[in-house]
Amino acid sequence: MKTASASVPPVRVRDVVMEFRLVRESRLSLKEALIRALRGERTRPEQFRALDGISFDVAHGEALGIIGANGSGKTTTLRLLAGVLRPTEGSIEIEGRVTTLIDLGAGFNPELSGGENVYLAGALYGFSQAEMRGKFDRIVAFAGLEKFIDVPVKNYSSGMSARLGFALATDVDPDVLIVDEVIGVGDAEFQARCFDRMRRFRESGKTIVFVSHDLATVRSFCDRAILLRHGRSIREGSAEEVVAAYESGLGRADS
Amino acid sequence: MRNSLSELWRYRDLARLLVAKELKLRYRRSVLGFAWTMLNPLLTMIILSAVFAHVLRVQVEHFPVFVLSALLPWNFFAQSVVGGSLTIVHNESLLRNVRVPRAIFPVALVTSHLVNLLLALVPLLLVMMVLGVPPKPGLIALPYCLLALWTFTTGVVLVLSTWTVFFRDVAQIVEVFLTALFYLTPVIYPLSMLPERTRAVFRLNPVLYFVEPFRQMFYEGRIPAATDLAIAGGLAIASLALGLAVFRRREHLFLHYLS
Repeated sequence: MKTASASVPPVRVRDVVMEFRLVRESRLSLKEALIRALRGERTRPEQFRALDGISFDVAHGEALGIIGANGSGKTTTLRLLAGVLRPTEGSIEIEGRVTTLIDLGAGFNPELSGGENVYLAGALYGFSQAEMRGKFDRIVAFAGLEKFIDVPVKNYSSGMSARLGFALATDVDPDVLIVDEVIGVGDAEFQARCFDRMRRFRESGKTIVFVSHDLATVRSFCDRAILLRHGRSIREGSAEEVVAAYESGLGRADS
Repeated sequence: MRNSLSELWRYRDLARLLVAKELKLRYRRSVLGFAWTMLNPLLTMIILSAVFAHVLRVQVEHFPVFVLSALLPWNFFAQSVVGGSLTIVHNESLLRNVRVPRAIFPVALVTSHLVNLLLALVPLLLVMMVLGVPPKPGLIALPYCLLALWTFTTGVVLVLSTWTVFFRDVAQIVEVFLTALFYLTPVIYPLSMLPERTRAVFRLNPVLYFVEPFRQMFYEGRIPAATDLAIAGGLAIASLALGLAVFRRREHLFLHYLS
């Protein structure tokens, strides 16, 4: 099987359906649940289909863009790829280490220093302390935070924590990198360095999935794109073509 | 069960960092730092001793050692349960973004309280020296008792942290329940004080098998009865197995309910 692995796409998504329960109010209390159970009421929660049968592959060295209006299913797709959600139906197969760049900074603990967060995040990505010690200086240097690494993250600007997050996620050397729109937080110079790093990443055969509202970036950075609407893929093709279709009004929430 | 445990073992570096994080955050803001872990039970002990030995005139020799030796394991259990129930809810943003064995958060929290318990044993030994209650070889059972206590508590916390995701009032119910359980467990009174028949009923409380041995080792200076230790071991394994089973059956739904 090893010989085949070069041609088999590392990301394979097949007929994925993702349903959520619509939790209308806040969660039920245990008391209410017991009373309902005693009365013999069975509440069937309403289901909401966030994804309705999507399939795609991403090849080695390919950058795939996922675009669509709010609520089209982009974030759900991302979380499925990250492995934090389990699809209701269908299958998702990913080879190698996946690293997510979603909601950076949200994962950081504000009370801990930047350095402490680097080690904690490294462990969350599955690295040992010894491995992280080898990466530490490089990560801090890329983020440009040498002077602030012992300061609690709560005193960081949003740009600083995003920089640290990006430096971390790309230095852990994933096989598949999943990027939400986070890079926009840094300044122009940092953004340029991010794209430079991601480009080299792709050239070394790594796979990138990019979710963004930033159509210009998708057009310039991605090879291929998928346009989602109400949890379905309504257009798939070259980034150029799909972005153009979206810009012409296809897939807008009201279309 | 073996699968969950080996997965947790692979992430032991993360577990260790999470435990360190808990401890750091708990004490970073306080002037006394880690000393607080040791002072807190001492102060509680002084209050309880004043009330029970001097106001209510309970006749128990070396009351401070008597009460502290049972209070420490009880505090470990109660604080782990209160804090542990909320671990999944509190770590929502991490669970949303990173794929880790989710059980690591409740396990790490219980373990951080175990470190606290170990630190709090130091003032207990000091009080014993001061009052002339020497440590006896009965303490040889201490590692076993600590392990059993940790295992039992982790199982309970795994169940409660799961339920807290689905029902928002679990934390309040737990609090009331713990208050009742505190009085049902012989912490501030000796089990021997109860009439024979009542004692049999009180022995149905599983927590008793994890608190009582500490008093027997530290205060009475004897190795707990083998049958009691065996019961504690059995309860601990049953609790952990149940906890992991409940947690694993529900964990893929956590993100559907956290919002």
